[in-house]
Amino acid sequence: MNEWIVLLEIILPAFYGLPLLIKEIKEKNKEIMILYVGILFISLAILNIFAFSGENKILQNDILFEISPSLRATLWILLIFGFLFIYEIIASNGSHTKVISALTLLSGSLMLIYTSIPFTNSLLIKKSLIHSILPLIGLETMTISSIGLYFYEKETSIEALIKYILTILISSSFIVMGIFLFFTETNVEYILPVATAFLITGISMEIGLVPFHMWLPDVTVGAPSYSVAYSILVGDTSLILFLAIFSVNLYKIIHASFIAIMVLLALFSMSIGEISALSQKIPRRMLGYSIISDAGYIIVGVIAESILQMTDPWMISFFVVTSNIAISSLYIIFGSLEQNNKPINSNQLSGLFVRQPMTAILLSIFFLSMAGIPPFAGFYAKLFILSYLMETFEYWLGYIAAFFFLVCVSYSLLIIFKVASEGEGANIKNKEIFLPLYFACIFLIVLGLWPDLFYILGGL
Amino acid sequence: MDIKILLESILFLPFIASSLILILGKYFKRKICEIFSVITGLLTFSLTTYLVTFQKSIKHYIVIREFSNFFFQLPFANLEFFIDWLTLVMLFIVSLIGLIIIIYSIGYMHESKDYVRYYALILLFIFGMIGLVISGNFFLLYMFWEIVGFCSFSLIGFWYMRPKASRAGIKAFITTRIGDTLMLAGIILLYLNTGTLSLVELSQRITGIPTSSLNMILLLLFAGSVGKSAQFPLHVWLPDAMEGPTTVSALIHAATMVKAGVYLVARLEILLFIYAGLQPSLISMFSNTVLFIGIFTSFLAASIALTQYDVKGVLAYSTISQLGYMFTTLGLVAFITPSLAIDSCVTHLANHAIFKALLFLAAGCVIHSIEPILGLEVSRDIRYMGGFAKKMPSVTISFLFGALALAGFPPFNGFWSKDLIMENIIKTFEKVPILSIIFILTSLLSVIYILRVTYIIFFSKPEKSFKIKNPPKVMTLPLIFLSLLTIISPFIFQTLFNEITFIEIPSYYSLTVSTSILCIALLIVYLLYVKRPWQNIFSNRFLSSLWNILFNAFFIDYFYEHYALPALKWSFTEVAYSLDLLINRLIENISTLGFWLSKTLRKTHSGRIFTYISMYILGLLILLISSVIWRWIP
Repeated sequence: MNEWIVLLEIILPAFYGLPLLIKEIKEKNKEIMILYVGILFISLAILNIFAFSGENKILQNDILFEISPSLRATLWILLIFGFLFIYEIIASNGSHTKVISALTLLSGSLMLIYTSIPFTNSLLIKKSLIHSILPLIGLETMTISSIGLYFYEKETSIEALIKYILTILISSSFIVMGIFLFFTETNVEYILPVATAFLITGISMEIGLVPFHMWLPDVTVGAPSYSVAYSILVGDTSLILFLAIFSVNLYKIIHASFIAIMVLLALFSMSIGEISALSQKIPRRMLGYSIISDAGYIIVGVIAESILQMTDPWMISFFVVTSNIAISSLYIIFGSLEQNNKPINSNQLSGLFVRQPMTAILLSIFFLSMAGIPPFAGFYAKLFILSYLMETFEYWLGYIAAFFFLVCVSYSLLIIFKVASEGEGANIKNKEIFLPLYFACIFLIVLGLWPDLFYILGGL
Repeated sequence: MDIKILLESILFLPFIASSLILILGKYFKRKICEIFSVITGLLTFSLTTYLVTFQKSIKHYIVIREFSNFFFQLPFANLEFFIDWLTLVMLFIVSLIGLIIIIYSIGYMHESKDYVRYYALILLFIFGMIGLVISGNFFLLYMFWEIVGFCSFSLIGFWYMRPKASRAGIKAFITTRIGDTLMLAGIILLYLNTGTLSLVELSQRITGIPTSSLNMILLLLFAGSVGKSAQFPLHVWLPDAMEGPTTVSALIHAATMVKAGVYLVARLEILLFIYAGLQPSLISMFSNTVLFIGIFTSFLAASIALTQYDVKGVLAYSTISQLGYMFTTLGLVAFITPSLAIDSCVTHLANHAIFKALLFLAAGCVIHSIEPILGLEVSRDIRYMGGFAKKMPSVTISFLFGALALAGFPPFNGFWSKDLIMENIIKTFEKVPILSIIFILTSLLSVIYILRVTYIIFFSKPEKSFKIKNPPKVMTLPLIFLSLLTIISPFIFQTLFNEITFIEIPSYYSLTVSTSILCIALLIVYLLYVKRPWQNIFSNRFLSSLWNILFNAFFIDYFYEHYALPALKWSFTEVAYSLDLLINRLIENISTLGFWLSKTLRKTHSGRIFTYISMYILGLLILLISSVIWRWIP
């Protein structure tokens, strides 16, 4: 791997956004903007190809950036769908600030993905400060850019943003505290569980695991839908993968405390996420809770992979990618259906199948995939989680996860029935937003029929 | 020719032909379809004969797993052929009878407009049957078993516009499904116990199964045979299956498909006793069940056949009875040498295929000739027949040959095989005398019912005289050929398959018993139907009631339709309703609880930042405490 090219790949999106601040470019039309962003993503794809071919060049004595096949597969998907969702921001008349924030978020996200393996190795084995700081930089970059993405001149949005900022501030302090404790040399036996608790609490707050989840539904309802969609796809995915890689290695050192923390987080998130989603009237809020429960399932997957000592988190990558693509696409649909910037409620979806059949079909497919119904990719995602869990003989956790999968199916079907029922409601007027939706839909179907595609993307 | 290519050709030729006829048949004239079908049948038979002639030297068996074309590697299971003498006998019979039936069909079905469907299904059936007998593993065998079942269902209901035919098709399908489902359970259990379904691998691993499990598996597999071979209590579909064209009755419901059940049991016994070397006493529960079902069915069906007026009905019950003989023989493994029991069963299976096909085809000629005058329903009733010997001499001789073979008159093929069975049964007389008595009684009934039918149709004086048309040569030639075979087939089979005893000089005891049976039966038929001094015998109250019971097939069908099925339907409905109610209540309560919980949780999400921060700190505390405490929990 050529670390110079990787470094360029990481910083390029952040700097590439800066010219957009220039007035002349800012006032250009949508097509030019899309073309401009398109060139960046083509460059990133080329850099990504070159980064993994040719000589092995590293920036310093210890490797700073490292990537596994599953992360590489995820990276490709993030690049493709990252572009499509930025296209969506531009098509939905999102301001240039949103585009700049999105690109900066991508930089932070790439930083986090590329540094997760070296960070884990350094923190648990070598205790290298530089390796511990790099993902922190990535995390903070993501946080700052998210503020830009979530900002919206609306009372509820600003309130949600304040909650987000406060949460992230606390989370960052916990993460720093956790890393600091990992560097402590005295009373390692007692300090390590505490350090783990701090670090995992910090990351859990960023992901939105219960009981650190309360900011998430507020933000998903308050922030613009396209920002939420992009943020979930790029930000949430990289954060979860970071946690997964770190956790699998952590298990080797302190498995008892690790299992305690992870099981609690998983149980809380699955149950409270799914049960809270069940009675929501606003679909965007429902999806917010669904993200929380999905994070719970991912923690279940992390437990399974940790016990099975699978260093490359294929199952988690597959789950998070398929789940986040479906949820992000749903945010785009719900956002486009809104009128006067007011979140729609589920009753407004009635009759959508008659009024806009294509929108209804897309919405149903995304919900079905999210619920884990074959032949969509979500089915394999949930199947992998359960089958790996069964291999670890943690059957009870598998039964609980399966039960909450059913709850997810029930509220997904409730929405689909609502869409198919008669009634008057909202319509999508901006037809430009369909492009990423079509791609997402095709991707979920193809991956559902041919899951090996994910391995191919990972270079296997 | 390489054996792989040879087997592939034998198997896939009928399938390709069937597909071609189905797709392109409507674009061609009837004649082309007919010639194409005959050529396919002829080629299949020629290749089979070639295979049989050149594989006589098979010591035990040949297994073929690698194929010339990768298309033959099925995605769901490995295509695997298993060839031994039993396979070769079955293959020869299926291809021979198949060819004869196709030729005969040219005349018999010449008025049917739906010839494309007919020939496509017949060829598909031949494909299924060939596949079934050459399958090297149980999964593949089950697949072909179902293909054969589907063809049977489609051909019974060939004239689906007639409610009776359509109903009969459905009845056959559902009845055999009971057996098939149990058989599938047996296959699954077999796999769970041995980890394989391949016959070769099973021959090495089957002895490792505990005796009780093995008996259970074999009984479940036998349930499939009971359904397919129409044995009690699943025999009720076969008489109704006669609603299909007579050619179908001859090919599928007399000569080949119904033999699949016998084949399966024979295959299992060869696998267990000859290849795996298992002691018959270990699976006595299975062999005794086969024996009991076989002997009981043969007696039951023979007694019913005595009273029937539908010529195809008599032949159908006769088939059930003869299949019962075969199962009886297979069930004798606990008393005589297994190879002897299997040999005598296979001998009778081969001979029965020939004489029963002949009987059906000859009856088909008679029905075909009077059908335009009397209509479809009445044309099968023997009370409206009579004097056909003068009108159709060639058909009369053919039917007579078939009847004499069935009755076991020397030198017809039935004589040799029946004598073999008789000898084996007599050997068990000391241990189970009742078995010999029932068998002798059944043999007597068999001779009576077949001679009764023969006399009434061909030699009795008709009540009404019809002017009928003689069947075309394309129908009579197969009859003549089959008639010839009823005499020479044992010799041909003996030459082709020298591992089995098709011809054996009868012992004194069996010959005496057989001859006595024939004489008594002749006398009874003479007294009852020819000279009729006993014609008023059935006015006796007891005999009249007995006749009524037999005529209604012991009211088994009536019992199924009026008591068993409604009871089953009622209990299933009640159970389903109760379950439905239980599940609905459960779901309702769970969903109510879920929504209540959800609403309660919503209240905790107040939107106040202070609450959020409190929750974060609480969460951290919980994780900190649990991470530390958990270390001391073992």
